Amino acid sequence: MAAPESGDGNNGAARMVTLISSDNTRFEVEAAAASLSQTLQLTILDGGGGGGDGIPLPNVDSATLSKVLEYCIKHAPAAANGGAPNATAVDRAELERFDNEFVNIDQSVLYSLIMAAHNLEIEGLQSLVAKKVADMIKGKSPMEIRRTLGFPDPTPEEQAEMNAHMLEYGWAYE
Amino acid sequence: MSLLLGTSASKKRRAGDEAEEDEAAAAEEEDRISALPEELRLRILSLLPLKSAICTGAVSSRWRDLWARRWPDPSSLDLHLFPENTPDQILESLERRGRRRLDRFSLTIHPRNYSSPNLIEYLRRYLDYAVACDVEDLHIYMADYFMSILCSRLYFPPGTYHLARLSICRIGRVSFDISWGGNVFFSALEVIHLRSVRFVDLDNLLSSCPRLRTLDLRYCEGVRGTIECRHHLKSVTVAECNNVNKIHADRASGLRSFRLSSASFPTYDIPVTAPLQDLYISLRGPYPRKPLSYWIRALPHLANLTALTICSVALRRVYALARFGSPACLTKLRNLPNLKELQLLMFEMDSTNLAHIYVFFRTCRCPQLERLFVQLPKNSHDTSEDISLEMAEENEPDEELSEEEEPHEELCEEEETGEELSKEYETEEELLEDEILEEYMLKDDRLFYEDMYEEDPIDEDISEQSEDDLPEYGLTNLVLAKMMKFKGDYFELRLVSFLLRKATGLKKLLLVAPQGNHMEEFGEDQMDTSRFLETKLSRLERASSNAEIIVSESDHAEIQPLHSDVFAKF
Repeated sequence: MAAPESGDGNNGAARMVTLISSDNTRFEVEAAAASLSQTLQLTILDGGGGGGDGIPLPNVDSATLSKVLEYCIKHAPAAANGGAPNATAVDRAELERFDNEFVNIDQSVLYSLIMAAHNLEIEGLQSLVAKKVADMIKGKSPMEIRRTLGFPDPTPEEQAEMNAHMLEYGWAYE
Repeated sequence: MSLLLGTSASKKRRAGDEAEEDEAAAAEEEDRISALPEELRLRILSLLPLKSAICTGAVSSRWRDLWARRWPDPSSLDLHLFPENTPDQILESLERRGRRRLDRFSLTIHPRNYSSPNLIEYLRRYLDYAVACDVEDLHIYMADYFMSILCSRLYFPPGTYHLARLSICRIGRVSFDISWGGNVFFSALEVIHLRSVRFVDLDNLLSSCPRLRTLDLRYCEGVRGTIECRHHLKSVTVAECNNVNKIHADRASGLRSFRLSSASFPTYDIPVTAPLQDLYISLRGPYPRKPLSYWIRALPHLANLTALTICSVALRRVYALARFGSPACLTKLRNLPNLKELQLLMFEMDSTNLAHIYVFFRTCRCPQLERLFVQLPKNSHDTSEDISLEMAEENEPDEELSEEEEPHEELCEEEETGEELSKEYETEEELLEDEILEEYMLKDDRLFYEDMYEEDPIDEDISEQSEDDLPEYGLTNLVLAKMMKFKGDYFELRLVSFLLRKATGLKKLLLVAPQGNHMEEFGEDQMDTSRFLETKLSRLERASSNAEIIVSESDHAEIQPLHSDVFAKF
């Protein structure tokens, strides 16, 4: 998602904003990076988040927020270029490498991240994390999916339901 | 949402090493992905191929039907073109829907007098539309067989990258331009069902599907020669495609299902280590023009086999090998440790057939056998000649089996494969000798057995053939037996008697009368006949005290074999 051109500070130094996580940790970050979030972008455009105020994010804990910001900082320059039409192949490859590395994380973090990306409306991050979850599911049997996603073993009732579904859509399990 | 996120994250962190807490954490994990807002879960589902999306439906109740809503409604179209519809109207309404993603597109064309160019043009437009919507599951059916041969054609446009399952019934010609996609034209296609397709370049089709797992061909007379099965294939069905003479599957190392029904004795090869779980062998034709030993020899190990269907022609061969062959020739069939379900296709049912069945149970150990299905012939007299040339079910024109020279080719093939595989078997010469011996013996046998069975106590016969006792038949776990087209003939009753005496744990024996009232032939009314049968049946000795015998006029739809499709007509 393109960040607004105004995301760069008006004065020489980049404009900074402060974000406050649900557990009251303060993060100072460039406005351009924070503006990858559609939700924050409006507040920032209104001049919020500067000085001692900070923008409270009651939905996001500090661990998740630091992860989100890691993503935003990395992607901000490319986003500032308006979807990076002049980005070199090297830059794009570097971003791709970063992305792959970035989602190589514990599942609980992944779910926190997908929720945070959703709440903060960071389109690129949402796609990235959804893609990661989809890749974890792709090509697996229901039992394998359950295991991958960390579900407990199915109860007999659940097993019966599974079997019924598999009968109904037999071809998908062939 | 924030609350949920916060609490579960912190709980997760607190979860220590203890097993109990781990379990709780696992349960919580499930809650977490399932608790994601529907919008997010749909977003994840939209990134999956249809097959994987469907699989999520089985994962838990919270995912049950979500996958079906991943594209804007309707993402599954089931169109019927009736004579009163104009194809243009439907196409217009499709265009109004736009080219949004489609999971499934099914088109059934009901009989109507289309001109051939019109029909071809309509089919083209429907197909183009479905492909433009990146359809993943595509079904095209022509209800009218003759019209379909004359004037239907499916030409696949490029862009079929998402197609995962293709099912085509009664289409004259199926084609695509391979130069568009090279050998990945159908790059995602995993399942192909072709039924009564007149012309299709199967070689090109198969080589354009790098991910194909299931190939199911029925009544495709236009498929000729050798079918080359690639190594991803897990399931192969070739039924009544009587111009196929070889199924070459020796690279399909993961083959789990192999079903062959043919009136022309094609050869096949399967990797010996293929983990075959279900096997269907129905071969018929002018017996004994070709030696049948290859069908046993070319089988892989059958240790994983859970469901088996074999025909009386193959049973005859097992019998011959068991009685006259060397012990090695039946190695693979001798042990069926996991077989749960057996279906016998009895093209004929006389004394020799009965003997073949007994010998099969004695020779092929299936201690886990729970369900037995027997398809009896329509008529009790020897019908082998009728069967050999009769085309099954569909109304393809009866092509005379031009087999005058083929047996010789077959013999050559036999020898070649024989050389490769002969280690554990006797030599081909010996087998062929057996063949002759068998013929010789069977002539005598027939009389022998007939004499035997006329003398009622069948046990005498058994004790003569073997000294061993009941468990030898390995029917101790059999709980259900079902006989289709049961007419109460002498040999049918003998088989019933055999099962009742040998299956010590039998709970239910279903005897289903043929469709249509066969009793009329005898000028008896139904009540009398069934009473007569019941009296007869009630007199039979039973090894299992709670075996219930049910004689019925209609089929029990809920009790069907895994191989419920019987392709041959007999």
